[in-house]
Amino acid sequence: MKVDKDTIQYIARLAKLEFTEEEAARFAGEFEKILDHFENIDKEDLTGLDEVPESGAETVLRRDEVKPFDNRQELFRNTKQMRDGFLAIPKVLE
Amino acid sequence: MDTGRKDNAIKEAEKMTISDIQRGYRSKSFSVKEIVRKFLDRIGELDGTIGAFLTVCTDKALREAEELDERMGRGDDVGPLAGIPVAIKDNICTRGIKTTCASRILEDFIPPYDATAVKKLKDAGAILIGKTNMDEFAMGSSTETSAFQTTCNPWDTSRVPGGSSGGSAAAVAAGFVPLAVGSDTGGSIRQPSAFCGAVGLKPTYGSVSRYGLIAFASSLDQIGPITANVKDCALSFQILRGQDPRDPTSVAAGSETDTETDLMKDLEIGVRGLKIGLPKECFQQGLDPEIAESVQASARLYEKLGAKVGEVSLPVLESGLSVYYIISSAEASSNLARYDGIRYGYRSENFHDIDELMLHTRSEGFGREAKRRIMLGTYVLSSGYYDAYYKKAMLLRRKIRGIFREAFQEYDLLLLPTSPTLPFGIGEKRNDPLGMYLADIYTVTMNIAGIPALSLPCGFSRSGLPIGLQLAGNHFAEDKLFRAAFSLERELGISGRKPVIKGVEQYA
Amino acid sequence: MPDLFETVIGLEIHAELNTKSKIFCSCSTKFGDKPNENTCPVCMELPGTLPVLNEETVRLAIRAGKALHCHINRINKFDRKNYFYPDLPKAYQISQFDLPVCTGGYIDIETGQEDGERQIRRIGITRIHLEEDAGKLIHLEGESVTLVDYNRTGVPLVEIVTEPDMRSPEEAVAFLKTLKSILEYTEVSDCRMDQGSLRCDVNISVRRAGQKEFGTKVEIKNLNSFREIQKALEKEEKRQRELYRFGEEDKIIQETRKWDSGKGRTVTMRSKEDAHDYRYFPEPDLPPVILDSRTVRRIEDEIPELPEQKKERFLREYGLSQYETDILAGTKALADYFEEVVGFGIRPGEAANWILGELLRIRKDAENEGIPVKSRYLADLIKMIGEGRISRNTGKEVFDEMAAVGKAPEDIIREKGLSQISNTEEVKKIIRDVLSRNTDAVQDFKQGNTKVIGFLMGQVMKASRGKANPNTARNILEDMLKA
Repeated sequence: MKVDKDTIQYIARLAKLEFTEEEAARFAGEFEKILDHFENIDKEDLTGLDEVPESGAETVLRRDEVKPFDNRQELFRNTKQMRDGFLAIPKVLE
Repeated sequence: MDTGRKDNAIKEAEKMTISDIQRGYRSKSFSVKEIVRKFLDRIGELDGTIGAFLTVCTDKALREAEELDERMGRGDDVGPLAGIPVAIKDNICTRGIKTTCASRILEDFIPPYDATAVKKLKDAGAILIGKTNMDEFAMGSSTETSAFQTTCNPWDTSRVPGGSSGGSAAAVAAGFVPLAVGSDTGGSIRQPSAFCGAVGLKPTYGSVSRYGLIAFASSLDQIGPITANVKDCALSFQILRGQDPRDPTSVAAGSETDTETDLMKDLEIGVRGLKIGLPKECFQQGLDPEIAESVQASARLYEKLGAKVGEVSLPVLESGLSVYYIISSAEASSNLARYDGIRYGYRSENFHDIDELMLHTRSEGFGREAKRRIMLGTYVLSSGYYDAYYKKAMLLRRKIRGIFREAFQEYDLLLLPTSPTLPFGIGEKRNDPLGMYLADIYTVTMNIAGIPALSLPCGFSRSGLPIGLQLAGNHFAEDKLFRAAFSLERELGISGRKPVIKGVEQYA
Repeated sequence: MPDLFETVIGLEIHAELNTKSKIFCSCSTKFGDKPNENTCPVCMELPGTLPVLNEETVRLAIRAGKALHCHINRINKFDRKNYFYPDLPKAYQISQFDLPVCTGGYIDIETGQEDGERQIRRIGITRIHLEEDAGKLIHLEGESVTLVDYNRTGVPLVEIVTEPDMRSPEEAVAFLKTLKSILEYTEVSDCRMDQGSLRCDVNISVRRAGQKEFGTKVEIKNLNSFREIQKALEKEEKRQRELYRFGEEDKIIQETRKWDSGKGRTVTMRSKEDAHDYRYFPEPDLPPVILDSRTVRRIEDEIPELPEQKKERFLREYGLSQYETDILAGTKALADYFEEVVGFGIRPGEAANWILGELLRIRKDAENEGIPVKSRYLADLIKMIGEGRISRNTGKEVFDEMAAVGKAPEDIIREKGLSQISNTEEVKKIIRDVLSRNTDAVQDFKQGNTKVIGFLMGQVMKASRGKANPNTARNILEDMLKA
């Protein structure tokens, strides 16, 4: 499966990652090898199989009750900046 | 009691099993604080060489040990793992203690809550000694992708301990703790256990809560114990398992048995009548001949012990690997999208707007393997490719489950190697990602099918490196796994062996 | 003249469900609490956390589906919708892609009258699905930071998508009003557009009359009231029709526009570089929701009376006019209030008068702002007027006072000394006094000018400062004059 640099850059944008031209080229090469290997799944017979969830799986639900978290001070200890209870993050342009 | 005898009692703490330690507490041969101190000292002396720990909780552990001594002195009920030192893989959240997944992007992350598994260990009285090294975000089979340090195999420090739970396996092998907890997505408990001569269990998917396990691949991840022997492993698993209302995938998917069996009860009844199948595809090319020989020898031992051993066809290996990498990368690409420097963790210093902040943080904070998996996962989920890869992989997953189901109609357990290779040299596979992926060939299919599997030391190579074999069972058949593993362990008689760690090794 | 073009409108509505806790964790959903007050590791989406589905969200979604005549999917699952935005902490939203809770429903709306017959159009509903809300970003002018509040993250939503069956902005608003009414009635959502618990994006296109294919559609976002929705649709409809009229319809491009209420028109949204590839895949952390038919039936039985049924019942039981019914039964709040007042023994017509007259006079937006007079108090007031303790005019004053200070009518009348004077002796005294001061008028009457009674009544009411019971006064006055 041929993978070119442009595809890599498009995927990178979707994944919010940045690569130099040479990194992208190297990725493209690695991808090709890996995707070629994946082609062995095409040899498999998939007739009769479908994606509908198996009904053996149980539904696990929660009651509609309010239970506040008990350790609120520590909840924000990893935040770099707070202001009046809000998280203050670098400006987001609308 | 004179100090000489006490010193003797804890002289070789590193060789003590959980039962040994508990016996010592009961007979007052030593205190919890003394044991914890001994283990901490050993870590202090030798972990510079091994590199198993990212964080050691010296003060906290000693404080907890003291408290526990007081409570035991009062005769309080203290729990089935009371005073047992435990190491926890650094992708499992520990409240107030740094949890990094061995990644720069979480280098200073301190969780405000404990994982359910951690809570269960604490409630059972275990003492948290520290957090262990791993492959970044559990992606890898050698612990080499850790952003912080390399861990060495205690049996040969020029070689890898396996991965991704390499730190945990090395900690047990080096005698730093009798119990370490790891996680297994495609073999990450079993393979390092095999490389380090330890016993490691990947439980049935859903039997141990994932709440607090920082997710790699949600439908494959499981937390499990790594110990020096089978009995300790069974005891620890019993503590860790259980349905958790905070994890909707825990014991939700069709549990075959409603009542939880007491694993310790039938541990020693032997394997007479047990049907063990050897998947013939596992003994074809690519497998190191020494490993093949060792596993076959164990199969013969099982026959001697009264099990019925036969051959079975399990045509899942090649495609299983592809299914694993497609599904795990896809889920990982989504699970790792939240790391962007905005709310916690590493933040790039170089950005003009929030978009750049996210972009640069992720590009700088993630290592190469993590990026590779994220990219692969994004690719197979992207429109245009979803049907060709992800959808097919999901269908194939069903098929693989069906193949195992059929195999378990004929056999109680499957016996196969854990790893196709012996522990390889540090740096040897760094530039061969595909080669690294192929090393998982015997382990990934159990995660895909959700079935339990255990790695047990079954011998040593001529160069003295540990060899492990794998036992796999049907959903919730851990009792059979432990039974069979215990029998073989007893028969082989090698579980007491410990590596001599080059460097500073002191005997009192 | 027949219309050469046809307007085609479809809506995408998000309604916040009326649950106490969030969809995947036990934090409160209460609106207006302090920022980040209602958060926990799960809705902050910290590493290692997992979602656990709130059973009430499923119940409410099914209730909504049943009330909107949808088919309920017995097996439904969740999917991840992946995209990056700072209000979405885990960079994916848990939603439903291919197996939503409900599919294929409808609402009938009134599109006007023709020959005295109400015209009904059926608007199709394509699907209803469950999803979680994101946090709130607060943009600050001239600052280098944006503030984030995660209280709203994880609040449960249903997304309701309609078929493109509406043919005018009026129909779109009529649909929304009916939908709001149904969702309020079934207590699925409190549908407050002003609080964001009801949001609506619109899609509008135009095509030549009779043409089967749809024209290029334009999406409009950021509409915060029914009025804005109508205005935005009207403007966009006009824009598109003009282009069609001049044969320039290819100038219409498929885009998303934002309603700018300040400018009173739509503006192009700054387009993101890539069209969103959401990479939907099944949510591995949540097992599928599998419903048995008994559960669905039970939920259906729980559905309270729907607006249509209530209107029909009001007409029947209370003998109200269509107009009165439409308003009283239009919102649950008013309907309940009306029935409470009637329940205290007040004649339906009388209750209707007071509610439609006085209540809606002082509170045009009673549904949202709350009804300021307790139903019991209004009932008491009406009774007091009936008993003659105060006049109707005084009653209106008392009503206003009740609305302002919330006191019982008894207390207000007592404090302000507003009781009507019904005591015969007292009234006689006042009348004698008036007659003695207006001897000319009395003479007029005696000479056959009966109209002068009106003038004298006025004087009596003035002398009693409006407190004389008019009926009593009139009778006594007439008696005295005749004597």
